[in-house]
Amino acid sequence: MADFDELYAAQFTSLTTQLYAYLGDRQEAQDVVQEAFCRALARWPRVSGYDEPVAWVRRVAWNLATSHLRRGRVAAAFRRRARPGHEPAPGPDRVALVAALRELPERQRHAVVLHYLADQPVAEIARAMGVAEGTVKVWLHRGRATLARLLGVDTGATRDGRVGHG
Amino acid sequence: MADLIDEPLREAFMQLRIEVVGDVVPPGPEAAHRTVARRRRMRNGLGAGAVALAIALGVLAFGPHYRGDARTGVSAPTQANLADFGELRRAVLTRLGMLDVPGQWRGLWAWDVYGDPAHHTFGAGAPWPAGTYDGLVTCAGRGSITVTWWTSDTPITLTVPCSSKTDLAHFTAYLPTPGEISLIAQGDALATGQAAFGVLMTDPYIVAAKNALGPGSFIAATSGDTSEPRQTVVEGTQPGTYRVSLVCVGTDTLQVSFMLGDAHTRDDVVCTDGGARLDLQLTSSTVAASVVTIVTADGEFTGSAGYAYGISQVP
Repeated sequence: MADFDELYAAQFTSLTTQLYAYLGDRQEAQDVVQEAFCRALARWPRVSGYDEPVAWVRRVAWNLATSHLRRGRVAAAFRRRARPGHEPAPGPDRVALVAALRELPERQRHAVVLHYLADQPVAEIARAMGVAEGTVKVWLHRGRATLARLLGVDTGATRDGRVGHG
Repeated sequence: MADLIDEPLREAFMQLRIEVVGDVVPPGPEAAHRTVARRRRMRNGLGAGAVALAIALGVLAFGPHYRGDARTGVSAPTQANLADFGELRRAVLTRLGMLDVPGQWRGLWAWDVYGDPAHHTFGAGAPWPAGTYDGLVTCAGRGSITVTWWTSDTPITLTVPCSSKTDLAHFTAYLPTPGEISLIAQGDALATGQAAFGVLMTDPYIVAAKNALGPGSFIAATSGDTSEPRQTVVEGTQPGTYRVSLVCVGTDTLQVSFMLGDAHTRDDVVCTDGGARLDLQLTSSTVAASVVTIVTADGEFTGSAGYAYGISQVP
């Protein structure tokens, strides 16, 4: 049986990063991931028996995040609300990447984040999102193209692996 | 081509991971244990005991819009002319004024009524600042919803009818130290599957600033927080002398600019937890627009202060 505290320590930051890329708001991502872990803990005897308890937590976190996003303008206004305290400003590359991600359609963004931040292969993404692998491949292809355009990725400049933003 | 794009994207996402790792502050598994334990207590405490406690405490406070029974908070269920959860929830959000104007709020919880109690914690990821929070609850549909909230171990409950009327029930929650406000909502049998509710919590900084500003015969009055820059324009300001009062509560420094006709001033206001106040007088000799601009001195909009100002004409 998996240990809740160990799972939390091992996965919280990684899941928060994924949800941050999806939602565009780190605090909201933390709230969502914390809530997902709370729900897992409330059902821990069952969840801990799964092959991959983290998959359950991830699924719940994504569902919560999607629910947040679908509140539309309300959610957008909520995300604009800053939390107390001063935080270090994110770097320009991070701002550019998060902004570019928000330009992707919701499902496409979900797939891109699972691919690049959860390191999930296409088959797993397809299973998690309930779609065909071909659909995921199309989403990833389109997502990459959009991100490259928005981030000013020049294929001729990839020799040094730099990502620009314009 | 795909690989040429993929490589720099992978690097960008890797940089994102590295950068975000340093910023994420997990509330910790202990916080999750506390939350789950509290929810269990809430669930067990729901029912006659908790409702009786609320009535005994006499803490139910209803705003001027509330038309229900203030003793029990329950009115006869009304058949809603609403079709589905989406429409019910839109009705709830419209009542709370959220669809068009963010207003003076810090948190919003909107949900549909199912059979199980619904839980929410404001400030679960980042503790909310200490202070007095005003809460608004409304429910659209049928039956009634009972909302229980606590900032410590003592639960307080409020029952609100779910109807097609624009009822808003009001409550206050006091946080003595930065922390969480937990809520649980349970619909009655009639509401289950046929109602949606919303809970909105105001921002204590703005509320404190408005309270400190006090009432007045203002020709213009505005409040807000420092999560975004604000510019307000009032057309057709008449010649005359005007008194301007501003109060800022929190930790930011405001740069405020008042331009009333041909008179203008610009000041920095260092906000304090107790409320920093700016009072000044301006005299305009022409009919022109008034423009009030409020930004933060450091250009960061973190929302860590709330302000309220009023402009009145000196007779």
